[in-house]
Amino acid sequence: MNEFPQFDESLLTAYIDNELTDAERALVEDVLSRSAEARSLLDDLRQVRSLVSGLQSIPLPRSFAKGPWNQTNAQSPLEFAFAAQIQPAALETSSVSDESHSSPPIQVTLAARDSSHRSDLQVGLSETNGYRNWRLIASLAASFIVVVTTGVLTLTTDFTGRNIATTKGTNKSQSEHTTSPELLKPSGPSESTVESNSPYFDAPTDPGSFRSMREAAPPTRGAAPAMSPAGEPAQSNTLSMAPGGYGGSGGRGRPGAPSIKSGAMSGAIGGATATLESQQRGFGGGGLGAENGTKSSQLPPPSPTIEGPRGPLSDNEPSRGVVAMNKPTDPSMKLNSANAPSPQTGKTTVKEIVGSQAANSHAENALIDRFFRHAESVWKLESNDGLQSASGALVQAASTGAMEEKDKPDERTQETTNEPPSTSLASTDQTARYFLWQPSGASPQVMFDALGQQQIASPDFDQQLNHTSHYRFRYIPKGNSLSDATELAPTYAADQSTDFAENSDDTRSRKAKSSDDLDASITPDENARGEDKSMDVTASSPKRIDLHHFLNSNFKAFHEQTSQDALTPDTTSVRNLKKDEAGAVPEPEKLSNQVAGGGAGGTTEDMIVASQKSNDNMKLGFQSASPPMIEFVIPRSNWQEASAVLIRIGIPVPNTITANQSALYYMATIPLDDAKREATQTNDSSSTPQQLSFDKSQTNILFLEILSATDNRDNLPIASPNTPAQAEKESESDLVRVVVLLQSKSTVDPTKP
Amino acid sequence: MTTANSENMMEEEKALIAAIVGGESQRFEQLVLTYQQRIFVAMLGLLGNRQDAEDVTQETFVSAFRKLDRFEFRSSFYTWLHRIAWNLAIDFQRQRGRRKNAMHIESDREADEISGHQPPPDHSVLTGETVAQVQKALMEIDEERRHVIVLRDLQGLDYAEIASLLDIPIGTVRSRLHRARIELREAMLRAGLEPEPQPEGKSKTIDGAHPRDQIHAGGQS
Repeated sequence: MNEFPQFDESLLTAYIDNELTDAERALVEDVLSRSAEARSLLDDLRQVRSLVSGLQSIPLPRSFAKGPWNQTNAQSPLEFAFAAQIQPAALETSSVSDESHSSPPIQVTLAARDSSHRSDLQVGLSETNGYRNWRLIASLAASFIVVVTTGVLTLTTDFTGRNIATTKGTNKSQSEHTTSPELLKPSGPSESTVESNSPYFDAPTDPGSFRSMREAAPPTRGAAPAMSPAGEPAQSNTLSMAPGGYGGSGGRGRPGAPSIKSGAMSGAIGGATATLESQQRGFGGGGLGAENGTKSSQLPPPSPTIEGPRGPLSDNEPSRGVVAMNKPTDPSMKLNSANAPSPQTGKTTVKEIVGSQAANSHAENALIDRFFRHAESVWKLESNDGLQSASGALVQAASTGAMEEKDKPDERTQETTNEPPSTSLASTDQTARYFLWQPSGASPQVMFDALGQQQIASPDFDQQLNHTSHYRFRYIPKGNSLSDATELAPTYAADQSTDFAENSDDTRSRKAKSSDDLDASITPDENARGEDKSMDVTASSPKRIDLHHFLNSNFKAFHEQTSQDALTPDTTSVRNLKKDEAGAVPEPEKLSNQVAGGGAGGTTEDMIVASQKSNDNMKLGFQSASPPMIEFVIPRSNWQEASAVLIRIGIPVPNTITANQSALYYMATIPLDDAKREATQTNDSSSTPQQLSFDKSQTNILFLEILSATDNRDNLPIASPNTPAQAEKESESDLVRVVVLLQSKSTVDPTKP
Repeated sequence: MTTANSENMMEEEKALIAAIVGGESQRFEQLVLTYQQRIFVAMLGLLGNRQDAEDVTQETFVSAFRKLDRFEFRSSFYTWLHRIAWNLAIDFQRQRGRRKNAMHIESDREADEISGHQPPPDHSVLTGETVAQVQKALMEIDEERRHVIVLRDLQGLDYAEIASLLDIPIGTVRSRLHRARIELREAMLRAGLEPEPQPEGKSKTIDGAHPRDQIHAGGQS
């Protein structure tokens, strides 16, 4: 409409919507009468509106009329939860039709400083997790009755966060508790016992897709629970519940769907347990609203998962990402808003980061720690938002130094094991490195039996990314050689070897009594490999790392063993790779399309592994040249997931790094066009893999040396748009090629001139 | 819908909500039945995926049920409900890392199923393929603009209601909506969805009268 340069075209839109004043309408009609272009545009706008409006006629897939309002019979939350606690079987079938399962025993540990702190249990309950906490309270009440009846109440004044078993002098180590395969098994229902339990022991959640509906509290005005408002500082009361039996994770829903249909990994009881434990341990989150008041006030409503009532919705603003690194006793632990993850991260709520060397003595930890034996500490993180957010939050925390030094997770180690606290490893000039790990080749059941003794119904990895789950992070102070770290964690190694010796059928690997033996057990089998088994990745000794082989030989073995211990029958489903009709793993390009198009197998992990396979460990994966490199293609918006997976895969590598060396990770993206071009250039499988050059003008450094440096932390949000609009635009950039370079510390930074 | 009818509905809704909060929780079903289609369609427009829309819709009602005692009638119930749904949808998208598959229609078969119904009269009949294309195009436009167009063209809210819901000036609503339609047209063209030429003065929808009022008898704007 060049002839009407002053004409506001948006009036045309308002015109077809009948949203004009008379004067405006007259103006529009005048223009329309004189401008064919205006008429054409008007027709287009009408057509667009008509097409969009046509979506209205899409019928409901089903009615949503059935919900908790139909099923709870107007019980108060307390009544409902209490009834559930007492009569699980009766309620189990109320709305969950096809995923009912036997309930593990209830185990309760109650540790309060004194009776005057009983209220702290309520203080520690977050408003945003209110209903879940209602269940917790109800569970506590039910358990209390049981305890009084049986006279097995354990109530201690210990305030240090030590395991109650230690505190009360039973001297029954946690490993003794948890190395028993029985604890890894789902048990029969209603074996209510009261005893100490693993701090990583969370209740499985309700197995049904409508679990949340059963848990949802009918809104009775004025019947709000007597919990304290969110934000009051939680004290050190500890309530630890083993599988409560009324959960079991749901997760039969569509992969990745965070809604109630899909269930969640952490059940009401489990989630609340973790919350309270985190208080005990000093820096875990108390859940939303469970930490100090100022922090709580910043917390967003919880993610759209299924647990109980949440804080009021913001009227106009969608929830923003906030990291809640909760350390009530140390305000400096709080991350300021500037350091909070970007909205892309979602509402990252690090509900719990529990540093616990003591936990390393757990059987499941020992299994995991076969691969991470150099670390001083394993932390558990529970995030509603899954792996991506967990990764993002931890990376963020690491980069900001928020978790350095102050965490001192090993204080409890000293208390429980009388070993020198490994915090001595971390001096003020050291930086923590965080390794995220979630078993890559496990079926979810195995994974979470191993991690938290939770059972995941769905074998879909992608789904796990969107639900509450546990991740372990390894903390290695910078400046300490990995071997030193191992040496300074003798208890850890000893427990590990003991656990394997006791529980394994494989004599060779499970009778390992030292870290060296464990070394051997995780080193790729020489005979099978038929080549250099060395995994030295130093620049001076560039040896090829067969990552695929490593994954197969280690992670798979690990999961097989885990499955045996955890009584999970199917452990062969290593990954959800989408295979073509011939059963072949798709080529990277196809796989990328799968991811872009949304496939069950489209996880970053799948991509990486598939890339490894499809390229026969040549084009992708670690290269024979130094420095080792991983590269793959991933949707740009998934960079955090890439981070998580890469860290996970990268974890074993530092095991072979010699003293005084440390792995540096470089992660960069290359625009897809470039990636495609290179892929084309290297399409010939017989050709020598191209060594990627790090040209800053062509690559976008997502993060640099994230595991050991902080000076580049500002690079972190680069790929993380700050606004939804930006995110949309970012997503338009489609796939990017991610390159991760692993090199020794002494190697020259390739990104610098 | 006349003002009187709207006021009556408001009053009835207040009474209903009061009853639910008072303990007659089963009556929440009435609210669900009234608004589920609108919420679902809105979420479909926002998320571009039927399964996701279904999930978020369900979550919306569960969430609303939990929070119903906090609803203070400062806005219409639907406005409040839509806010919940919108926040959930945003969270949902972020959680999923804005994957491309969020806009993916699982299959042509599903798309056919989606449109395999009898549309109301006066309404354009979209084939499954067209539905998928429109949804895909919707997902390609800016989120804020998509929200506005969903509120207008799928929810049938007028500009004032949209402005109130989003807390933006009416002029901004108009400009966003216009921009959204322009972008959507371009996206549709890219998707091969050629707008059909329409006879002068005749459109598939009646100007100013949103088909929502014909479809959702219980709807309230």
